[in-house]
Amino acid sequence: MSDELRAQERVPVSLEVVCESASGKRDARMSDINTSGCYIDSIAQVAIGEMVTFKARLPTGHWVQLRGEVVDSEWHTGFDLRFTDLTQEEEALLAELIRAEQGAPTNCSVKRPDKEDESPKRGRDLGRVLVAEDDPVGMRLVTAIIEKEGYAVVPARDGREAYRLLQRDSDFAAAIFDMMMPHLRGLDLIRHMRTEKRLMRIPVGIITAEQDPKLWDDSIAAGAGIFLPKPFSPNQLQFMLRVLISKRV
Amino acid sequence: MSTVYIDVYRSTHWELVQPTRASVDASSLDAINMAVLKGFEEVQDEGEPDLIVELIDLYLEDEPRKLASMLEAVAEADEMSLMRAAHSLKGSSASLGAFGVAALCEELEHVSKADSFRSAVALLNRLESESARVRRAFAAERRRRL
Repeated sequence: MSDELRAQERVPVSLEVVCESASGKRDARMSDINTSGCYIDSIAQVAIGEMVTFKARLPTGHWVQLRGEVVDSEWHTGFDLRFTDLTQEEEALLAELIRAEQGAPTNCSVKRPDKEDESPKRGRDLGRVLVAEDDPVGMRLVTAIIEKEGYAVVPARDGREAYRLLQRDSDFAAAIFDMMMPHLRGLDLIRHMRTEKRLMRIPVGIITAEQDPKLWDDSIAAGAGIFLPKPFSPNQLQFMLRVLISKRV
Repeated sequence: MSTVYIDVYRSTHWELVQPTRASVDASSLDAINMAVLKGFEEVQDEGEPDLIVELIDLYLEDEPRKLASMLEAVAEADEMSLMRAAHSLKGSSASLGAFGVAALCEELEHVSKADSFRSAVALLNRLESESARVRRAFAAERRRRL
């Protein structure tokens, strides 16, 4: 990250967050941010130096999980976090968020293929993405968006079909699962993938029309890298894919 | 190097955009949010079949099945089947901007046995009526795009 970005003053935001610290899990609100850290309004008791993991709901509708170290804490008011272990994609995401909150144009610095490479060739060689979605409309939509990004989609009509595919194939750049599917839910698939070494490296994103925050918590806890509620725009899903690809081990 | 606009938005795709074609009857004007459908044009490949028509066709093929599943589930007091079918139709409807149908499905999803499905019958009647408006609006949009 550049010194210029690190030196940025905090910009005010109001983002819903769910924090997990030694004292437990709590809903809270992020009230300001720069690319180095943020302030979280919370009654949680946290100690300076403590590591906090939190999920934040971005204005784009995505939920992302970030980490930080507490550098200052005010009793029953909130605490100051310094971000730790940010990936390049997460840094780009934060920079973009800050620009948007400052009212600046939202050009994203995330690299895309050059224009001449954006010809409509379906399923180019960037890799394969496993998509499990039982709804035919959702599957067609997700497929069109992912293929536009240059990836080939390997479709699974439900959780069980995805499970069977994963038994014999692990060559996926990423996987995107619907949460609620017949036979096996997206959450169950993630839990299975985290138990097999050959599948652990595949980053997984969850899409869902489910409104229950507990399922969101569970899927992030199980290892989902990013969470996107339905309905979503092509930009939102494309962004989700890029975040996932950046997390690939 | 090209850049991409990340859609850091303020719920713009929920804004109501009224279709203007006279062929769409007035009762189905607000059944779907056309801005949502229009947003999919950016992933349309030149020379390929119209993606939005494909999505509409898939919806029109699948939606009656899900409605029938819900009617059957209510008749048999099968809470789990009702929840699954309602959840599924909620997702596809919301994805294509049919937010009225999605909202009714959300309510149906949470009908429980404790209610003895009393509210489900009334909700299903409303859903059938709203679904008919959505089908008319999608059919009109389909004709317009072909």
